[in-house]
Amino acid sequence: MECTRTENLLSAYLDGDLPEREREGFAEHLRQCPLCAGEEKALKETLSLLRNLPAEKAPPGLLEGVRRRIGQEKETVPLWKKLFLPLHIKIPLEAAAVALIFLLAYGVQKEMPATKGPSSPPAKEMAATKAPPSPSAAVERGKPAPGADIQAGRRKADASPRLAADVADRKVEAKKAAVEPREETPFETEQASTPAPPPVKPPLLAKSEIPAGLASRVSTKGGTIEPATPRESPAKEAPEPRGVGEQLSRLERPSPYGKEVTIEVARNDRIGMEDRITKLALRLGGVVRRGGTFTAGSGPGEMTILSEIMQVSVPAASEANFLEELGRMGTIPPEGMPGKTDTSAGSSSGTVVYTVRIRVR
Amino acid sequence: MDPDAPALTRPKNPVNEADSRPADLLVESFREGKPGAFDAIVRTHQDRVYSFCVRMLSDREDALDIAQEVFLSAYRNLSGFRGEASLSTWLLRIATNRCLNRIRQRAARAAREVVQGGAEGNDDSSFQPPGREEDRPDRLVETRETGKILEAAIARLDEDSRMLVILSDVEGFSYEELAGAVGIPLGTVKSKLHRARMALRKMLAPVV
Repeated sequence: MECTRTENLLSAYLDGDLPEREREGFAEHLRQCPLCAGEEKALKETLSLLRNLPAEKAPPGLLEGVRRRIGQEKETVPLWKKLFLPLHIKIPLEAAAVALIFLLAYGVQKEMPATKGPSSPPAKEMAATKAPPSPSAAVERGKPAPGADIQAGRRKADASPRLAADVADRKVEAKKAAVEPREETPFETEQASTPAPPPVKPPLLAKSEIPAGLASRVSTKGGTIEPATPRESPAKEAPEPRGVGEQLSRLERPSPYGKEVTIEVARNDRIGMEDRITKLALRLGGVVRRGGTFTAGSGPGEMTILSEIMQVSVPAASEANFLEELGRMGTIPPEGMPGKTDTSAGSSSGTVVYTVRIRVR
Repeated sequence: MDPDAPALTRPKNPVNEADSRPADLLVESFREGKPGAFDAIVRTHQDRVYSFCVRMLSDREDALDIAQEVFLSAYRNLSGFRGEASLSTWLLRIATNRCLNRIRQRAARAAREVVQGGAEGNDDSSFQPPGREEDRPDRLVETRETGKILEAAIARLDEDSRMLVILSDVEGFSYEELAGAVGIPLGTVKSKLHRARMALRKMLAPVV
């Protein structure tokens, strides 16, 4: 081994970093070369001195200085750091808070009634309204339909005496419901407590003649019929026409459980249909939830009620009676009959829930 | 085999192994928020960190400042200390970075001063290497204070060589720890360390 190479390997040799065979050759060279042996000895001694170099004592103020700096730093922690640090704690917390807010918002939205505003009725209802194209379709476009004025006039003429009877019936119902005051909800539920009076054929009313809330809700305040929000004008209380693109109410969508039945009635029999179904359900010991009304037109006398959806819960034993009597009120088209595949589940055991769709022929 | 041959294995940071267990307990105590835990960590490691800084910077005031910065940084980051190396190794790695930054700041400041001096034409003195002239090892031979001679020799090494020699031969870092601390490949660490040692050995020739 040459002396130059020996010098290059000196550190590795002293660190024990040479392979076995090379180390033996290196040691052999050191035995034969006093110059390299002297170098090795000097470096070994240098390393020994370095390893035994004592640590210098830190000045007594070091710890105090560190404490002071930490204190200063704590005082000057910016607000954003206090808000967002330490990240490994605050990020999951904030993420959880955001998720909770979303869940709450979703829950609230789910419990809310259908949003008002421009909307399109479901395809089924649209199809139903298209059958007699002239009045409803024209009204939908904001144009007076041919014969609409005559119809409105007829309705006005027939309305007054029938309205009085209808209002009287409603007062009785409202008084029953007012026994237990409750917060008014978009879907009024009427419990069967006493036998309901026999159904009265309702009058055909123009929009301007229908008491506010009559078509869709019955107020129980004070046991009299009054608009759900008395301060509003009747025109405002009337359901707004829907346009294309509006999201459907939950009740207007297919029911997640229970059965569905569609009843078609003549235009003249349409008004008061809900009340008759309600009375039928109450008589059979059931419960009714009333949902949105599809209407068209905006001017007085031009409103045409196209369809309404109700949820009727009747005891399973009265199911056949309910369907039979419902059939007498109008026509249940074949596609409207509850199918065999419908789930026969109710909201509670022993009951059957029907989503009843009322359609004008 | 030569009886004077060195141990086959490189001494593996004996101080680190010795203090690893109590240090771990101190770190745990600090994480649990026990009062006094951080003070105990500082007291345990302050001499070592301060010595390293003094050797690297050849200035006690700067060394104190940097040592305090090291512990402040440790205070901020101890929650992220994963214990892959011993606490003293971790602290010395922080100290290495801080010292190198300080040395670079000094060099930049010195360069600015030289440029300004040249422009003004008042001073044509050249850049002086670290360490005072009267502390040159060959001048200290007469005093025979080996420790001082050695410190002076270390101070006259360039900063990279100084860092490698101190970390390896004074603090007992392994080659791997060195490569990790300095951020250079293992082979480069070995060759640079050898050159640094040989330079130091030449400076110490009068006494060794």
